[in-house]
Amino acid sequence: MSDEAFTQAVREYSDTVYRVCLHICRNRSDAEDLTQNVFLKLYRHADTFRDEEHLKSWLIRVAVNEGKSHMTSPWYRRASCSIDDGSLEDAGVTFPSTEQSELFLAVMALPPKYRVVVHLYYYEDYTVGEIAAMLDLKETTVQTQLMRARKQLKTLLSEADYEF
Amino acid sequence: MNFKEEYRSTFSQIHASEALQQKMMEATEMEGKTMSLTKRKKIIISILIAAALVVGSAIAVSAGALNQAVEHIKLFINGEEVSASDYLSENGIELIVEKADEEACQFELRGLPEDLEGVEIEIQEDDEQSISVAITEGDDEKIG
Repeated sequence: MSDEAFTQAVREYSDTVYRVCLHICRNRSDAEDLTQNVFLKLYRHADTFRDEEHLKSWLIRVAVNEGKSHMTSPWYRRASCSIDDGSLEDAGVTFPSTEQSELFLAVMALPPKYRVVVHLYYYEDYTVGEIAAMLDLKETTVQTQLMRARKQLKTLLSEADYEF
Repeated sequence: MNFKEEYRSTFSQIHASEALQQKMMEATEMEGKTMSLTKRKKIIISILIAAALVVGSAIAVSAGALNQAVEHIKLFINGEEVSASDYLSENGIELIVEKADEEACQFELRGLPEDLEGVEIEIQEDDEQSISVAITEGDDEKIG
């Protein structure tokens, strides 16, 4: 990839990749490390991309794979995965409203595989089919994960009375 | 309240920091070296091992590959050989795969103790070749 194209990709997609990474590992420092790894892979990536959407989905897929690799490490489980992960402080974020803080914490309380699917569906606006293709899952698996995630979120956010 | 709207409103406030973006853009100047990684709590020294591990078929990036890879490391602390897997586990050190395919396996140990000196690494004899060992300390790159 050319330096110019790489710089443009960092500007355009660093937020996207960082948010996905934050959903996976729930803390800022790990999310930043993973984001850097993803873009290092992009810089070394020899193939061209068909279009911007192809590049974006490639970045998300690499981010998810990097995250899986990171989180399945036995040393990560021992060293990094504390019960405090997922707090606003760990994530390095603050929100102007209590509702948004609660929504963030509720999403972070979901199991890892649900968090990514929820983010791709509700934030990135991908369809179930697109998410399934991106994550190499069956559509029914994605649908099930979304359904279970919604159920948990409804419980966790019962006072807010959201329409899902 | 509409969940999707509130979700987007919430997460649109989360951004990759300027410092992170700048670091990534500097990757264009750092290719061939170890990419500088964010300094994390407990991370004082990072070691990047680039080695060709010929272990049958391709090494996939997976937990299994991590375990497989670490079995091929001999770790010497101050001249004394220690079990790599035990040492990493007991000291809460992370092993992160940066790249793994049929030709090369690059991974990094994070979180080594601050006062650790004299770290040596060997690839076991049944590996056909080892290419290089790169040691990074903090955010500075130093290729050994």
